[in-house]
Amino acid sequence: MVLLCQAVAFSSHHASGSAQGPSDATPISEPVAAELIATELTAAKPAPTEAGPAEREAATETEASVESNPGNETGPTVAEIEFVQTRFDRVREGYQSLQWNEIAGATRYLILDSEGNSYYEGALPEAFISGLSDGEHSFMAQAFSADNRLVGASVQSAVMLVDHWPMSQAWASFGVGLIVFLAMIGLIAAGALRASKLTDEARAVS
Amino acid sequence: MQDLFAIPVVATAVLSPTAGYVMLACFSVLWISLGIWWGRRATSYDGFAVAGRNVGLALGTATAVATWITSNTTMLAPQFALQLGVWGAVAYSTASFGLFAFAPMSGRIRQLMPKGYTAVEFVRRRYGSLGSVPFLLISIFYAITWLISMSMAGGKLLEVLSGIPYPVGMSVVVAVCVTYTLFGGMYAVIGTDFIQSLIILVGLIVVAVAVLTRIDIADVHSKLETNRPMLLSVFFPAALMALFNNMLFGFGEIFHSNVWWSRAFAMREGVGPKAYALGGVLWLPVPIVAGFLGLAAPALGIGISQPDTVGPLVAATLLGTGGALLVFVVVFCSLASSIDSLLAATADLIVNDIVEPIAKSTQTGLKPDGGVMSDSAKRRASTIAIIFLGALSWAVAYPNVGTLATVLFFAGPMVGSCIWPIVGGLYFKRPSPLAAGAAMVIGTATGLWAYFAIGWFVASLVGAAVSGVVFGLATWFAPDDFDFSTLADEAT
Repeated sequence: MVLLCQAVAFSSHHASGSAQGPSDATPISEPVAAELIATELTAAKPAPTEAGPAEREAATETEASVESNPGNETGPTVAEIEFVQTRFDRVREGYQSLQWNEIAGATRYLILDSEGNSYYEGALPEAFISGLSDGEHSFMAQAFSADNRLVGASVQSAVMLVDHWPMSQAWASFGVGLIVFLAMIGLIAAGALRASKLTDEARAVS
Repeated sequence: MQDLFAIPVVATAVLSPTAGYVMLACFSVLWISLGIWWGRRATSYDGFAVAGRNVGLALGTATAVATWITSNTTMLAPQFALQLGVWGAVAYSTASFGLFAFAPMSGRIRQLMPKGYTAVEFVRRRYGSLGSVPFLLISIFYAITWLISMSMAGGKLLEVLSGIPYPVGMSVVVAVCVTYTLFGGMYAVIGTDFIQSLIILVGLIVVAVAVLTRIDIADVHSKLETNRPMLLSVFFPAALMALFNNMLFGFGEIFHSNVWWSRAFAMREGVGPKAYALGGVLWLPVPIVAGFLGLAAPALGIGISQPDTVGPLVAATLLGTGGALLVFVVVFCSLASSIDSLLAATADLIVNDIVEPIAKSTQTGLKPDGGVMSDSAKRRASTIAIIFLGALSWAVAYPNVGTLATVLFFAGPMVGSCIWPIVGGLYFKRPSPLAAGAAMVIGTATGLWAYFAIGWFVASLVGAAVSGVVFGLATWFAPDDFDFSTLADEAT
């Protein structure tokens, strides 16, 4: 079915810019999005939903490196990961895409929140994060080489300020939709019953 | 539960181009052979366009299911779940309500127009040009953009699943569908739909079973509750707003599209209501099953970059090469079952609602007794229309411009505004041409305005709601007195 269009419109966006809500969506067409499947199929790797010891250690090392560097620069062996956009205000649907620069030698990237929970592990420098509740959510990125060595880390976290649509608006849309739906079903039912009755009468007369 | 870390990396799960070509060749030969075999009875235009109006319950149900399961269903239902949680999967599955609602309408259509061919024909005869002009424009826009976007999706999906170059995959998909539709018309479409629906349903069941045996639902729930709580929330505002909008979009798609009307005409009297209702029942769990893939992805730790890739990605990750193969087959069947239906139904629409009226006005190609085109002339016109549609789709899809599918976004309010004129016009004599035309035009305009001013998630809803109000008021203040018996005869 062609509900595709709506779902695609609802997807987050590639381009950097302001935090996007559905109304300013830049939809991704199915063919374009499908193009990414191959890359993801070859890149996908199951990840723990919580970071493992290696990732935690790497995160600690990165933090130490950053803290010891007043200029906010990472150490010489770890490249800096920069998010294309570091702040997303009023994320209305609780989901958002994060994008960052590619790191030379990196074969996988990891996105962690401030509590160390993993939200993404894959080869592409883009992560789709969904299901967030209201509030501020911070994410940091790490890059690892094929031999599982940390080769990059974000200095500045990406912050999402999730602010879901007001429930009053949600219930209003829901209510209008319900009324239209019930009215339509009622009309079909009334029409079908009426038509059936007329048919029966016509048969009786004939 | 299954050790998630033990799930194999899917780098090897993508089919090789050789395997892809073999699969493509096998299924192409199969569809064309079956299409020709099933279509051998299409000796008259009635046989070609509406399968002799004698389709039974099994074939009728299968064609409804197969046509409504497109590649979008297998890709977008998981995306909806990943974005909007449980409500997202439910919202997508409400598209089956359109089949349920259309069930009684299909019986009425068949009863009112035993010799009818298209939805536009009904609107033209019911409302005149005031209703049929906007309806024809909406129908053509919807059908052609859907057809082109499906062709593009076919090329892309075959490329990413098997490495077959986009131009080759897209061309083969279009050529195969055009070929067997050309030979067998609606007979071929419905016959192949039967096989395709079986393959799709079995494929999805295998994926569902594989997913359920490899993951622990309680674990999925626990992880989502911790990391992505809104996906499980009953009070997810965006999901609540999207629910009826999507449902009404689905209703609009089915109620207005000749894909569904042509099947109503093709089914034996009394079969349509049962077939559409049963089709809805069979279709209903598909988005739920597919949607579960979207919900399972975070728990499986599968990193998602693009949400509409989540379904194939999870299936391929869990099932390895077999999963990729299954996805390939399901996608090919889904594409073929929708493209062939669109080709046949849109060709009917072109012949009956554009070519024939023009021929009538210029008095060419008419039967000696006047009125309509001869059977052979209509069959020739159908052949040309199918080739034209195939060539158009191929030509537009070939450059692989990825923005075309976005045009379909506008179809939501357009088709949503057709709901009331169709339902009202089918059952009641009071709705007038003015009411129908105004409802479609004003509903479409306000729906499109809502799309840009508010957001996509209210566009279909606004279109349907406003067109309903306009339709009701116009019917109230300027009622008509339509005689339904005039629809029983063949169009003149």
